Amino acid sequence: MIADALRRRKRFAGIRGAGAKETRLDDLMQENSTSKNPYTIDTEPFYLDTGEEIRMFEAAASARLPVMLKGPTGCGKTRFVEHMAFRLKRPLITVACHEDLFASDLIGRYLLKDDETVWVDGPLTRAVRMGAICYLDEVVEARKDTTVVIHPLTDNRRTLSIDKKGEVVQAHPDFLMVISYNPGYQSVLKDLKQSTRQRFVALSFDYPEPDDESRIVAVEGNVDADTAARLVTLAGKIRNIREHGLTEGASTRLLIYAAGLIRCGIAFKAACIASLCQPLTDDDRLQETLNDLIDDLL
Amino acid sequence: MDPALPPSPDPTVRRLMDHLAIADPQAAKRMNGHLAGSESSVRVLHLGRVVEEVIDALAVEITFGRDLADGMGRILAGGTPADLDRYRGMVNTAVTRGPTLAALFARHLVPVLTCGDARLADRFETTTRIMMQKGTYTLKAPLEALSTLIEKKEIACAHAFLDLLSTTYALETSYNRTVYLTHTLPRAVNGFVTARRLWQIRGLMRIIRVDERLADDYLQGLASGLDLLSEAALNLFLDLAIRRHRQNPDLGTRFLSLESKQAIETCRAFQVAVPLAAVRPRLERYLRARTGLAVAIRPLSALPGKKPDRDRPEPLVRCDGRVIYLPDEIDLMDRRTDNTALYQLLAGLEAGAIEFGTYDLDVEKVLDTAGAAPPPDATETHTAESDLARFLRGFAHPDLALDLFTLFEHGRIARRVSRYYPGLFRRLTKALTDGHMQAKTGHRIGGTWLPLYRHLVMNEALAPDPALNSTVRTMVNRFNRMTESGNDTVESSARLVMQCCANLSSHTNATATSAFRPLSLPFGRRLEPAFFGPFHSTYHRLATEIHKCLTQRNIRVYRSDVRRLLVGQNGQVSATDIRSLIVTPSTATVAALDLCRPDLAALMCKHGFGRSAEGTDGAHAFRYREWDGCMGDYLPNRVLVREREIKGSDLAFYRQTLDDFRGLVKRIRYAFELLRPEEMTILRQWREGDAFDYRALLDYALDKRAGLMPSDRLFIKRMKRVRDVATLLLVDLSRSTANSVDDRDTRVLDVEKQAIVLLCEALNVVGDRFAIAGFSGTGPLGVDYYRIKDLDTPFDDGVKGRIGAMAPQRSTRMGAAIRHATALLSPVPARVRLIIILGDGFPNDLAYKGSYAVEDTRRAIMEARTAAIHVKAITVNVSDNGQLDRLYGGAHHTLIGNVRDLPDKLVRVYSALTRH
Repeated sequence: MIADALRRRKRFAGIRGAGAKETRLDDLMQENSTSKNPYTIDTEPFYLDTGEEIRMFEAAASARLPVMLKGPTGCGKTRFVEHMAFRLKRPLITVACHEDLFASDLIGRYLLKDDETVWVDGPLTRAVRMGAICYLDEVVEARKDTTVVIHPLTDNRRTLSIDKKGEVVQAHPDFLMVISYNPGYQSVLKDLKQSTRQRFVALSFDYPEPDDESRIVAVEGNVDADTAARLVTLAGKIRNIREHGLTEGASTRLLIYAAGLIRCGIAFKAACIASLCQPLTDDDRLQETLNDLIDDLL
Repeated sequence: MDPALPPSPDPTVRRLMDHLAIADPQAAKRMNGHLAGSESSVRVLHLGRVVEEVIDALAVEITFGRDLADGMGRILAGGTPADLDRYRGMVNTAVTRGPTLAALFARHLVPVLTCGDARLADRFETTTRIMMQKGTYTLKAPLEALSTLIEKKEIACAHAFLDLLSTTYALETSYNRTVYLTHTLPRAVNGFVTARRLWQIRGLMRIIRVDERLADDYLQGLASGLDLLSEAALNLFLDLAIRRHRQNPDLGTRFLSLESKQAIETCRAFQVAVPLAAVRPRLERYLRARTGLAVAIRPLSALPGKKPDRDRPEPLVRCDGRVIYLPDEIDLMDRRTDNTALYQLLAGLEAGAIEFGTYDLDVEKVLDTAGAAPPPDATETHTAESDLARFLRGFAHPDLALDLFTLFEHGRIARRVSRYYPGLFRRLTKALTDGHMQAKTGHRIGGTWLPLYRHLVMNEALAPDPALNSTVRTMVNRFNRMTESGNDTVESSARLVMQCCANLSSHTNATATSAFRPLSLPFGRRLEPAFFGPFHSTYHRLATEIHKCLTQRNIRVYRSDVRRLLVGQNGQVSATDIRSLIVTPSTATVAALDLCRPDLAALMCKHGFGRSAEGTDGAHAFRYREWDGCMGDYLPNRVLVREREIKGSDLAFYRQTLDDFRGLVKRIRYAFELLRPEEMTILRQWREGDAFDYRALLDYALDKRAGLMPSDRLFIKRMKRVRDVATLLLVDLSRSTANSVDDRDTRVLDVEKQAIVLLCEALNVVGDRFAIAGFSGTGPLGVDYYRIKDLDTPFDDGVKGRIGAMAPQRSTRMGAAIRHATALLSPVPARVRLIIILGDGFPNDLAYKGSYAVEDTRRAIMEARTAAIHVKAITVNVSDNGQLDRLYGGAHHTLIGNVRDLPDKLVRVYSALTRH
């Protein structure tokens, strides 16, 4: 990476406008001079493989194919990406997408520093340069004129065009684009365009099977297996009334929250009400049903 | 002698009946009908005189004579001589006041005199004397109600009713008021629930004593909720009401009739009884969550004629695998919360049987794995017979086998519930062992196997009859072995029954089999073979036929597995699906399965689940499901919606309407001009505009410092916010819209069309996209959907002509039309999507009426709302009866009482709906 940066410095030396300090190179050199990349994951995040998703992701990474993760909220998409970043020993840069996200927020912009203008790479450019995994979370929330920025990176070109600098960055061989979204409640106006969708390999996620989910809740929530099993049983019942009142079922994340509260001494019922009943719905009648289900398990 | 009359063995009676028959055969027939079969010798002594009196009565008036014959016959057959004398005396006294009164007495005195309560007859005399002071017209309806009460053996109610009548008719009331009360009081009393009739009558009497004008308010209060109060609670409530009335008559009236909020809250606080309707939604939601299935809750009174197998008290809960039947109301406990909890308890008990597969019993699976020779006839398949009935048929003592099956199956479920739902298990066990509660429900528990039931299900210590000790302990050990792995199924229980029955027979344990007393369980629960059929009977029949078809080709599948597949896939099953169910798959069986694909498809079509050919008239046809509110689930592919074109064109109608309403059109155009969006949105990076974009300015400065060419897009523009509304106006074209609204034969639909014309003008001004469609049809396979204008169709003369050409069609299957409209509107990318239903009444079609139609329409509206489509309704020409709230939601419909107001109001409603 440093060698690349030095080569670039030489290349840009004769170009007008490159007189501004190429602090980006210095930043990179500085980053590499320290032993710790802030985007590197040092500790293995717990993830329980429930299907072929790890193998599939590794294959996609090896073939440099961008990956799309689809699934309901709280089912482990982000955790999976973190786990894969650790497993593949690549840095992970996450961007939470929203409708005010501009292209320059991803690519980078010039900023004033002391008395000079400096170019600061955005998260996407950093990932492209350093060969990180760039994870765009809830990509449908971003505006479509922003998401098209990733198009050249997600086909055979694997390049990122920085118009302001007149630079075309060739993606590092280890660079990988990953996006996620929840197809369940997206409106018609917010769906992914086909021209974007068809640039990705898709992995579908769902809530794990009860035994697996119990194990996950027990580990992440640091509770005993019996408590984890009861929470998972409760989640299963709640998911039965998805589309019969609830927009979404109880996610694994909420179960882990409940487990966390129980571990800290909160009573089972109170923890479930705070973590599961209240966040899921404001409807009194549904709350009543959820309370009935909790009482069955006490 | 009339040949239809059965000849009496007694020649005297025969002679007298012949004599009467000469006077009137009808009278003779009625009298003889009571005398035949009666062994009373007394009657013979009195019969001669009775016949003479009847003949005299016939001479006075024939109806009176016949009633007298009937009455005399009944008294002679079932009364005493003293009754006969009293009857005769009272009727003769009545005769002096006219034959009408005499006939009434002849008819209604009999039950009074023969009920066995002499005081009732005294009270009857006193009351009728008071009533006759007002006039004979006061007697008919009340006496009929009194006879009804006595026939139902509600003697205490009869006394109370007579007191009520005495009190009421002793008051000074006008003639009209008296007539009104004469009809209202009997009707009301007959309508009271049997269990609470007595104190409700007394309450009515108490109120009338205070002020007879309050009677209506009291009856209204009963209809609104007071009828659920216990006796003590009702008296307390009436105390409060009377006190209020004394302070302020208006307030008292509103309190008594439950119109005031305070009254409603007081009544609710006093209420002990809980009607099923109040808890049903909650129970169904719980069952849905608990089992993952659409289990319906229905009242026991709705049971389709099926009775328990044995002569015992009605169970408090019954279940057939997909519907749980509960009491119409429960007032057994002293508190409302306890009665609600009892409902939940009963539902929870049955939910366990559904969740853990009790009703999935498959005899074939039992026999395959039992390793025993099949009981005789158990392998024959009778489509209408449940698997439980088939299973029990093979035993020498089916009742014993049923008890054992109930015992083991309830025990198995109890083990599962204790494992997965410890909280529920504790509550259930507590209730099952609560003697106080069991006493209140009136079900005495008992039976030979009760000690074992107590141990396995109620978690009590084992305390068997000493004579059965070793047998019971053996059964417990076997049961424990069966359930310890956690993989037990209902077939496991069935196999255990076979083992235990065999054991009991082989040991010739006389105590066990010959002195057997059947189980009587808490709440009267039991498994009933005749009631054990799967709820989806259509799926059961189809599964049976598929099973038969496959068996003929030597392909072995279990019928219960096929049925489960059908249920899970809404009746759609393919050969590929069945492949996974084959018991011992092989190349030969798979090949045989492929051969029977056409047969499977034909079977599916035969049962209504196949994909039938679309209409041959070229219309686009779409299948939709329909919601069955009773079942609590959808009927898949039930309805066929065909898109059709409006025939003809009437452009003149459109132009004429604009002309007739020219003043209103001007006002509408002006109003909708104002509706155009005022709010601004900011567009960035323009070369010119209203103001600088500071962010762009910053970039400009930075780019310049960096030696780059800065952008010249430095401005922002403020634009009016765009209205992004897509509306679909769905018009009911049922034949009721042909009704006239005035003496010029203007139809309801004509007024609706005028309103549509004005709305189109308004929408053109404001720029919203809109579509217009009409719907009608007959039957589930004949729903017509007329696309008059699509969203993207220009509003041209063709559209205007089609609006004018709309005409009344047939019926109103509203749910299907809404679903089709939702399907058309769902893909439209608009910020606001709106369906406006314009109609003149409620959904009504073949086999689509009343609450069924309302529930399906509600469901369709809910589906639309789930798809982020707003649904509003405008109804004309219907009086508001609260059902519209139930149909559309209270805040989602507008009722226009005078259809003439529709053109103006439709436009106003639309502007209100879509205003930012």
